[in-house]
Amino acid sequence: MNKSDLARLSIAAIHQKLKNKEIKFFDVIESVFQQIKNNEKKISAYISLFEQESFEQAQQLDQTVKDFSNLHPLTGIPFAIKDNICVKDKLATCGSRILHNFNSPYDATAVQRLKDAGVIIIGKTNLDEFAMGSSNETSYFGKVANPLNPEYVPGGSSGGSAAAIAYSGCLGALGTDTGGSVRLPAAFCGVVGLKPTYGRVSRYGLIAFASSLDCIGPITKTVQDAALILSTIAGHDPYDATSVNMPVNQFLCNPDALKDYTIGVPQEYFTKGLDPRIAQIVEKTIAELGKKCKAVKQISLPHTSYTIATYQLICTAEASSNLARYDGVKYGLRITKDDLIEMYEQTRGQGFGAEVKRRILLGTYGLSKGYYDEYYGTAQKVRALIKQDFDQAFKTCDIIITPTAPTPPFKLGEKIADPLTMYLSDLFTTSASLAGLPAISIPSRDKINGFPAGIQLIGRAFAEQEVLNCADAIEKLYA
Amino acid sequence: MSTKISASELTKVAKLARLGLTQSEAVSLTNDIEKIVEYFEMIKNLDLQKVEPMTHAVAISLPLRPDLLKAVKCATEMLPYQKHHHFYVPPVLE
Repeated sequence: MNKSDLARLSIAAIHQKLKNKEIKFFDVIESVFQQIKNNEKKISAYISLFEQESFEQAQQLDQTVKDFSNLHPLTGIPFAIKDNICVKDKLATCGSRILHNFNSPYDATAVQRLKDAGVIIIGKTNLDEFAMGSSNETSYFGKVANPLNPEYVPGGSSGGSAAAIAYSGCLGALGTDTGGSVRLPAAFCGVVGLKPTYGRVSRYGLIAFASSLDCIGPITKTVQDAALILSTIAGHDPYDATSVNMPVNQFLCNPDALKDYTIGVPQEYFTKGLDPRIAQIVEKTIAELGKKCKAVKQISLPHTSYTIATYQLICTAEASSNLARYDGVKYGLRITKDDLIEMYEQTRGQGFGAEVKRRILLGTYGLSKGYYDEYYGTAQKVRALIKQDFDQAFKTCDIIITPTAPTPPFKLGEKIADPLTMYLSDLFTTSASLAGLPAISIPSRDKINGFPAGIQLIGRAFAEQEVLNCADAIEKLYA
Repeated sequence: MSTKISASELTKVAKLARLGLTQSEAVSLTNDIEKIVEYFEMIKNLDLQKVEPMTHAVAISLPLRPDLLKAVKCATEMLPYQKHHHFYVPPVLE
């Protein structure tokens, strides 16, 4: 294999080559930066790149690593971090003008754990502003294009991380998923995206959007790579009070476990609104899985049609509260005015883009006097019903299979003027977010106009191992 | 209640959120928000009388960590508005 093609390999394959001393750490970084040079101009996956530092770190690893038998699987692996996750002494812009100059004074816990494993952080990736979006067209730093066809969106909000993986501009990436922001771009870019159970990975150092929903998750080329990253970043963290204190095993992929699983197919996901070409691909996959798993069962998640309204009410309410801190006083953009209130209004008015303003207004409206019970309070109750749907379903099945997105990727600019239609892109991903469940998107083998469809698998809370086993089995079916 | 949101109601919400909007932004956001809030109305069709609200995905108690001093890099060094290692904020009192 040509060394310039190393970036196209999975993390696991690169690790094996490093262990066998077939390649150097430097070769890997060199190959990745070659891909970045070839693609970045038309894709814009990154907001910042740390090229010199990355080469220096690789050279240092080549000089200092002597014992390759105990090499951590992520040592020397080039990583991209979504720009709403803090990396010490690096910009953390959230794709927003209001944080365009914000340098993080500390590492997010997930980033610290990756650094402890020896990864090389090569850059920070573009995103929808404050992770609010499904197409990665709302960043202050420009739109991201889909590497499979640059006329199309990469999905959002972790579009930069998914695009960077898709064009081999890194080997592993972190994204964040509030209502589908890891899974949707993974589906649109033809890569793997895993949203862990809420509380599985610390949110410390993740800049808050909707705190009861936000999760950090890996975006990778393979299911095995996602398992490797999750094993490294998961686990209790005293700096995040919502991080769950339970032991984390090394997540492995055991596709043979599929024979013990009953797969649930929710009828509400295969109705109007789903592109028939995607339905066909998912149904074909279910038929193939059916030959290898214990059973395939029709199930019902009766409140599915309420998920977008419920999700938007909750996430905008939390966002309006979380984003109140950007006022021009302590950090970020400040538009100087003699009057303090005018300073707040102008700083926020000029610092936030249209989608963020829309969501702050929706959230403030939903929380305001007279409307709180009617909107936010009601949404919290519907959220309970959506979770109960899953509790019932998991009494009769182990894994739920659905499409990740109702449509294939759409063209840049196609939906940006119609926010409600854009919100409906998250139709199949928000329910697992509201219920706090682990979910993965893996790309199908069959394609629609050159784009694979995303297959979503949802598991019980903290059953990432089962989700990974099933996803790995599907990946092997497709191989 | 009606979901009709007037421009003046939106302006009031924008004031509450300390969000400065231009005239054209106010018009287009009023239209968007009216449409979106109308969509939200569907959740009112459900019978929720016996349903407890869900505030969090995972039912856990909030643990406290030990109250220990920890050395961190001086945050003011990383911030754009500072003087003599202090936050430099605009005057908030007359």
